[in-house]
Amino acid sequence: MCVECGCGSSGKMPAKEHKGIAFSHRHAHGNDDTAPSKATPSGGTTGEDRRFSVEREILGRNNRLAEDNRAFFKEHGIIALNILSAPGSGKTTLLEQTILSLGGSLPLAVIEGDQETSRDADRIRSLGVPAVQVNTNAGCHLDAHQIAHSLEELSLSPGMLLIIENIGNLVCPALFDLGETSRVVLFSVTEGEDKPLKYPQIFRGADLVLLTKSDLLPHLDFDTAKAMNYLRSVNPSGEILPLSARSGEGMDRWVAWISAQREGAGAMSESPTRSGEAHGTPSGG
Amino acid sequence: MHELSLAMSLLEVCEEEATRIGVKKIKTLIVEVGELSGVSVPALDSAFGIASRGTVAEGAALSIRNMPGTGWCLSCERAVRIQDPFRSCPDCGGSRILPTGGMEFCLKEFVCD
Repeated sequence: MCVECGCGSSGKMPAKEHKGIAFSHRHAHGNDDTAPSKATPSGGTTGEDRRFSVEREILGRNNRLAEDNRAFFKEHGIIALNILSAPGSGKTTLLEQTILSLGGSLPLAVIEGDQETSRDADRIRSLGVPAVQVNTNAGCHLDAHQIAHSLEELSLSPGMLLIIENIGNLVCPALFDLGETSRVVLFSVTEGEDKPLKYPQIFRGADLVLLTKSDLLPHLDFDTAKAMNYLRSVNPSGEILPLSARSGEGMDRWVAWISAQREGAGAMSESPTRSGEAHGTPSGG
Repeated sequence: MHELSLAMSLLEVCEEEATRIGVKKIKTLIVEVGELSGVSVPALDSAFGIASRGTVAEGAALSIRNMPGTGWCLSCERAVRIQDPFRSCPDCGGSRILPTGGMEFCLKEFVCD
């Protein structure tokens, strides 16, 4: 039985009825065909001890579920953005302003991750956008399994934009592939310039870094050039975009970046670095 | 912090394999942990101690094989030893390094009575 939701050991879970396309979450448990058992006596017994060779990667489950999610997104042309940052960097405010900027121009849904409360999902729903709140309680990150169940709750449509607001945490969420199309990391100017050096993994995995709260720059000693250099040293290829959800600075470029993601979705193939390198770390889920 | 969920995944594999081969109690787990895997062995060990209660691996010892971190420097065009996936090449100082080894987190074997 699945330790996380108790939804059965190996079979398919029936998808909920939706008007649009439905996601059927199958649990990639170890007794699936994708993970054949290998336990065999490996000899070397000492006394009465018996040794069994297993040879199984422990990261398997989360990554298999993430690949299911990714295949589903790709099949339906859904752009899934995994939004990551420290707590208080402005993720939810950015989402609200993004929804307003898009002005209903494309189908949109949001998955909100927080330890407790549905406050963020309530904020999104009040703007007329469907949102699922995932409360992780003691958990410090979202995983592919939680995303799969959230997809079952949402009414999805082809070509939609799915925004996943991860738990405010610069450490653990970096290790867990959700199957997202792109990773967006927020770095607010009220944080130190050296955040990318102190938390390199999350910044290295970013396809886009948004330098948020840029309207506060005149009031701070934040050295933007220095921050950019630090970012570049851990992530030479990701895009960087200064932005203020409050003043609106940079919002047009952010919305244009989202549009470019959608336009590329038809021909987009999975970037090799996404699953091969950046997410090549264990993530048991 | 994520080591608790890693320990639970490890235990899930143990339960499956033990059930399949008819083993009631596992004494030792031999686990490979790569230097670049992001797994904290002390945190994994304490999480495993808590999560294994009531399972086939309750009280089992974790025997860790540390796997060295290696990478390929795109500038030097040769294999280099790296202890952290975000550090520069020890020879040329460049940051264009592809990790090639040390990402493992793998249950290799277990030992039973």
